[in-house]
Amino acid sequence: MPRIELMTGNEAIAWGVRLSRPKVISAFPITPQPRILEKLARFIADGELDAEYVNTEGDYSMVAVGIGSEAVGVRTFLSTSGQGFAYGYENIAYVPVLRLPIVMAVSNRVLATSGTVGTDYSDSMTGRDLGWIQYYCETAQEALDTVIQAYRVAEDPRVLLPAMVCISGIEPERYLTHTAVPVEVPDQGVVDGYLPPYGGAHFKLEPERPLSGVRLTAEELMAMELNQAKALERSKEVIEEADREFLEHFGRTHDGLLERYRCEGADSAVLTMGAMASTAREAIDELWDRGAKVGLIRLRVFRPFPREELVTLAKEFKTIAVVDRCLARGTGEGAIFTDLKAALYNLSERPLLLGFVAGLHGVGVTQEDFKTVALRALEAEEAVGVETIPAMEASERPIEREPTGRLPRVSNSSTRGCAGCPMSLAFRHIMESLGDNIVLVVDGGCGTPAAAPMNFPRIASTLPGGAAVSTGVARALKAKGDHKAISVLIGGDGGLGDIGFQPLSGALERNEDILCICLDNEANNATGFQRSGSTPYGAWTPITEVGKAARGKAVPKKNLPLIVAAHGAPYVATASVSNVPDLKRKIEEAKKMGGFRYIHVLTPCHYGWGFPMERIVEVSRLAVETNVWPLYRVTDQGLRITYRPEERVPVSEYLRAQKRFRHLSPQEVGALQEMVDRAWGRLGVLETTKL
Amino acid sequence: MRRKVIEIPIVPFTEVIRPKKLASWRLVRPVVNKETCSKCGDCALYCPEGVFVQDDEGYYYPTYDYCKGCGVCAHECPTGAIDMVEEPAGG
Repeated sequence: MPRIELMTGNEAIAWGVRLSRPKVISAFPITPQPRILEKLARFIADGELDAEYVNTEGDYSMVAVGIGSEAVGVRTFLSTSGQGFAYGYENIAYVPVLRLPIVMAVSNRVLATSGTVGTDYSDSMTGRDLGWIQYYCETAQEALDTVIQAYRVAEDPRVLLPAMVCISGIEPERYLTHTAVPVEVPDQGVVDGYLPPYGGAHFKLEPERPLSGVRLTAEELMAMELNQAKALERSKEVIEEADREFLEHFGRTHDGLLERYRCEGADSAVLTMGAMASTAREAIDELWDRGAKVGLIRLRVFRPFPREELVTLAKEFKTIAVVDRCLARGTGEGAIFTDLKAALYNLSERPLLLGFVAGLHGVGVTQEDFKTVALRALEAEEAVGVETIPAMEASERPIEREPTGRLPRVSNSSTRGCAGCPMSLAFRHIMESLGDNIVLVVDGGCGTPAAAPMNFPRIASTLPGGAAVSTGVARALKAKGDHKAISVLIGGDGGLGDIGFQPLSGALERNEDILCICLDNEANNATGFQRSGSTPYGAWTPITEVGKAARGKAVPKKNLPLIVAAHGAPYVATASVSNVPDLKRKIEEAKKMGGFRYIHVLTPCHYGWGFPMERIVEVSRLAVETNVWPLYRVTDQGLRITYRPEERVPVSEYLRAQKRFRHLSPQEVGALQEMVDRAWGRLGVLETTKL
Repeated sequence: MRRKVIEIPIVPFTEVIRPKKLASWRLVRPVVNKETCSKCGDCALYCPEGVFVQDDEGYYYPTYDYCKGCGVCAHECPTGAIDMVEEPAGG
């Protein structure tokens, strides 16, 4: 029997995935999607889903893993949001070329890197013409069901194209990714009857029957692209068929390509897509009650664009008002509006079309907004320019300048970080030591809120881009003849060590004039403590779960400072917020040198690691006193340990202080002690090695 | 439709730093006991928000406007001179 469970849109996606039984799940957290990953990690840890779970170091690899696994013929699931979508784009574009039927969830987020987490469709819209099928779900139930349908459609031999299942994220009215609602979870047996096992349909990389890539002529490639486009056209009937058969198996439908709601007898219609459609539905119900005859057309599938269905439907209305949640800059309108106009253009009789661009960056779109739109559709006599919701006139004013001259560099202010944030503590001392003459780049992790408002020239980089933005700053300062100002980069372990490791390694190899500080909280904490390469062995994080089939992170922490040192950087040091004078001395030393200088600071996140907030310094101190976090410096003189604990404290005391290690067995604690001892021993060897 | 008029700089940058006062997050506040305070300055050193300042006699005291009440100062104080007192503190 199907059962009802309370779940969010993200969790509904995870349930849809679990029931579809993929064999590979490739993961990288990005707000607002991580709950999908966390729920899947939980299923796997509990032995309820049997799949390889790949915790990648960034969205680029996240998608590329899917290319490899699907090419071997294994059902694969991916998920992303916003900037992650953009970062994975090269691989996203490659998937349809290979005709790999991957399903990827997109928890929609604005494609902007100014820290916004609000929803609009500017992320997935950039991928609309690549050959992916694009579903936009209205509800959590639809999200769960659509994942299952999407696999069936994508893997159909008539289609063999990837599919995106998009759900809208953070906005005040319809918060699909995060609002928990009752959802019916179908029986596994029924799903198995609907979705056959996947064995790789058209090509497989297998040693027994070797297939290898061939080079094609431009004309052949063009023909191949036309075939992809044909397959996408063909997918329309498969999407409709998959939804019809879904009704037979599960007793509910999601209206195939598009839904008509209260269109019978309506004079005009509102056309929209995604979770906003629920708001529109309520507005339209109210208008019918008041005698206004307006229907709702809900696009469920945006690619392939249901052209024929819309042509048929359009003839019934005097006016259709289209509400888009994206702005195609340079056209002044939304993508659905453009496509609908094009679809209807050659009709001799066609409705008047009104265009609205709504709710960008997560601005709420309300029932009132839809009522206004619907009434406008009823009253419209002629086409007017595209309007925005909320109705807005934006104008530019000059950048604010400080009238009273230069303010103190480190201002008296609270930070936007959590109470007791060790990064805020580190930031304050770092900024004091760095002095006035710097240009600061901060990557897009926790570091942004952890810094107090400061009167420094400061720019946020993308999460991967920090070392490259700092390179540009350093070179521009040099080009201007400014040899005094320092290009400073402050980033996190996830930003610098994982997703941004390539730019970091590049800047190191070029020995760019950058002073780089890594604040290491041993996870991707801005998205909710999901593991990073810096997370230690055995640690629980929401995507390295603990259960009967999993024991936290299965591999040790990446040793970033020594990897940086291996690049031959002129100055590399480790530091801790428990040893502030040591940290400040190292910044002073680094400041006096040129080239790429790197200081790696341990900043224990009480909330992510699980200990009381007043203990950040104590836990940092324990890390140092147990040799879990040795303090040293590497220069052309070799490696020098800068602090030796007088009495070695057992690692177990450090572990015991934190919830993330609570599950460890005595054997696992012993293994960690051994790792720490070995690493400390190696440092000793490095210290005594003559250069 | 009534149009909202929004004036905004070309990019999100400003030269004018507005201090944030997040004291409303605080459930308990640090109170320094001068009798046991040794003026070592550890509270000021380890405060994540940097709210501690020194008075004329060299004693440290917190600026409550910016303090979030995390309690790191009280936990680190070697002489136990800081109490975390429930808000609203007496007076």
